[in-house]
Amino acid sequence: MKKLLIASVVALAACGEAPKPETPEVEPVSTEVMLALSIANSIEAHPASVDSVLLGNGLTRSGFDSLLYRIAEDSVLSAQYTARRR
Amino acid sequence: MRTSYLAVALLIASAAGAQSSRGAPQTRVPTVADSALMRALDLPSMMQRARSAGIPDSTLRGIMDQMRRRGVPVGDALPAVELEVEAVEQGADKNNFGSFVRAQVESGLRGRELAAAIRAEHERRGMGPANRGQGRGGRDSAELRGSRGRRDSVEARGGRGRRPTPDSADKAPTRGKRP
Repeated sequence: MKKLLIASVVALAACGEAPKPETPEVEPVSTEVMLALSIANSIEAHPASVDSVLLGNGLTRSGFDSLLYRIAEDSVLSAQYTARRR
Repeated sequence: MRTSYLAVALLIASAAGAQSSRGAPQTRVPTVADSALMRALDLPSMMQRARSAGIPDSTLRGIMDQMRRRGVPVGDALPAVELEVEAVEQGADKNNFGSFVRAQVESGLRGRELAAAIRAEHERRGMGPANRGQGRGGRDSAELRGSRGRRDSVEARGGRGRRPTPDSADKAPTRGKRP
């Protein structure tokens, strides 16, 4: 009887450790990339309002040029941008 | 009676006019510069393609840095980089990546002139629309990148010593190709 009790306790203890659900690791995305993606999506949605879109994000055309150049010359930022543009 | 009809018609017309001027969204036809900017949204992706083609990262950073310092709009940068990436993908020497574009940018070509030089180089390398798919192996890559070819293409356009065009918004459309 005592053995049965111990076995039950061990079995219950084993059952209690439920496997933790694996949470997918979310890769952090640079704020520059997020900004560029947001602008890119808006420009594609409203191609006739490029300047308004840029102004709404606090950028000029040359400022946006610089942002795209910065992303383009950095392999990590380019990869993040490209992955999310698909 | 006739006067009152006229008054009502005028009232309606003026109300309609006021409505359209206030409520209409800001719509205009996208300019050439807008279209170039939209194509340029793929510049980072083009650079990733260049990295996948095995072009050294330091080379890519160098050409981007040069274009930015020289004030080349990203709308001009994309077709220029694309030309060079396609050349490498077709077997050109990776170490010469960017030599054509660097020469054009250094000579001061921008906007329409840069686009025209790139288009001409595309055609010369057999990468134009008519030759698409036939470019591979069609021309010796060493010859394509020879200094004589670069000098000819610059001089043919009178590009040597030319200053950047101030009106970059008014540049000709460049032919964009997607990978």
